[in-house]
Amino acid sequence: MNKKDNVKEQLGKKNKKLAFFLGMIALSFYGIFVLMHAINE
Amino acid sequence: MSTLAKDNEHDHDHKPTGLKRWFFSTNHKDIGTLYLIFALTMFFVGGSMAMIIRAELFQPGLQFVDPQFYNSMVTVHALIMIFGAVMPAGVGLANWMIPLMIGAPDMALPRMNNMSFWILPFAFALLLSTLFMDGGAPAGGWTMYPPLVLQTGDAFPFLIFAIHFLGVSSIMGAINIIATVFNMRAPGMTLMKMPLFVWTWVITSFLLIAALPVLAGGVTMLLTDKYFGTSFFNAAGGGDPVLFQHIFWFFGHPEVYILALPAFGIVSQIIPTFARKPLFGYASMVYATASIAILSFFVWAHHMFTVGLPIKGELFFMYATMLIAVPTGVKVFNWVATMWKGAMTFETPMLFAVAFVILFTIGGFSGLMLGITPVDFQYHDTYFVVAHFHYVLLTGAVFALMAAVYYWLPKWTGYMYDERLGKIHFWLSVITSNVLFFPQHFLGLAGMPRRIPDYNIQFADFNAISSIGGFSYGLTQLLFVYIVIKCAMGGKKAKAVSWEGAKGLEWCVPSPAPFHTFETPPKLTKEMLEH
Repeated sequence: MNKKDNVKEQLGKKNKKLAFFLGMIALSFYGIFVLMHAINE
Repeated sequence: MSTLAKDNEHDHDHKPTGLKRWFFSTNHKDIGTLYLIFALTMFFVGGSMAMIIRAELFQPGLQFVDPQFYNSMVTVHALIMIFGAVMPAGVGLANWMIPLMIGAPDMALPRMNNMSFWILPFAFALLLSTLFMDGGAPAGGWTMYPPLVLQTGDAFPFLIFAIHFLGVSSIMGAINIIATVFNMRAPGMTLMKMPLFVWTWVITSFLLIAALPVLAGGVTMLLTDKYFGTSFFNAAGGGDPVLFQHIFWFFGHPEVYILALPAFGIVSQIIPTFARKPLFGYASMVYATASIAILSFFVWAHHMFTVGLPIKGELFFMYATMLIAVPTGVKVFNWVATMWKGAMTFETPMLFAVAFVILFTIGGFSGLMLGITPVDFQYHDTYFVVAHFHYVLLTGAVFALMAAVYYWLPKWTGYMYDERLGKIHFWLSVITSNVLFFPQHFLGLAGMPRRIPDYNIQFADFNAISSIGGFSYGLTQLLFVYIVIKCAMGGKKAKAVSWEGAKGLEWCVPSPAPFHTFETPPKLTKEMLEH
């Protein structure tokens, strides 16, 4: 694997990590929100 | 700048062909084009519903449609225009321009980008299929307030799932934009050197991630109330219908800025180009955008002053609403200061941008009026509100989107559009949209309620004028389609720097932009970062 491919792969991993983190934030907003009201109910 | 343009001419421009190119595309430019075509199609679908509304309101009495169908038109028109036209158009522009503006080869997550787009046609197929169902399409307004919305027939689950899908699509799009801007910028493109369009989209993306799950949560609770015996919003079961209004507007007010902030970004690109001056107060523009975004989460209850909030709550939301005028005022001041003593020319993008500044400000002022609690008690649910938000969304957001299309069309197609036709389109649009919406202020002040198919005879004249404006505005937009198609087919060749005063990285690549750009990160010069 040459250096350019390695950089590309690293960047891909970094992008996926950030996307996963942001996705989890969105999901937790949704989950916590519905759960909070369900408990209240 | 020209060196980079020449370098990029050698970019291998081979691209997939046929339907595969569009269905399986991971190219940011192709996906941007798909978003823009989809948004334009939805603009006409939603627009045709607006024509039905204006035809019915042309005269008092019931002329063409029954009240149930009229209410469906009002509801679906709003959902389509917000989620199907303005938002996808903004995402389309973001897809096309953000990688070009920051020197990235593509969006960070290209396959997710493809999925974000292709969810949309399915979501709108779900929504539009309800027009043919027993009980008709949703008719409770785009705000979906219970208990009214729970009376929707077979269309109800389709509405709820369509909203969920739209939310998922937008959140994936937002994640992609954030990852692209944070991880893919060319070396030297620091955050505070990014074009303002990119900044407004980053901030909008955070708004999307924070606001859309709340809407999704709210509509899930509506679904469980209807089909699974819960009573979140059912007073008889110990729930509270007003809770839904809080939830909806906690999403709904940031949503207004999700539609408006990218428009601010577009105008902040166009005005400096045609004033041939750098943007006045770049840093203050970034901070003002962020302030507007943060404040947008603390003003939601100004949409519900009349539900019986405690007086302290009403005062809080009134003052918080007034506070948003400060950063918005900073922006308007900066746009005017950018134009001040500039060597201005008025090509079509600049005309639309200047009209945006003036007309969006009118919409902002009527918003301030509505934000004053005792005044809102008079105007609430009248046509004044309809006039207000159409000034913000049509002469605001849509005008900015039109400006953006004219501004970047040479970069997309490689040809200049017909300037004479563009100017005719602008003047017809600006006149007809004001004939359409300005009289609605008077109707609202005189007490005409919104969302009604029939009205008292005293409102007849202004409604007739408004309808004439509506039909004329609708017809005028056919000219826009003609101009865009004509430009895509050919015309005067566009240069890499299509506008004399254009600055920034996107103008460093040839016109049309090659299929692949910046596969090797560009070496940025000072000139490339001047915007």
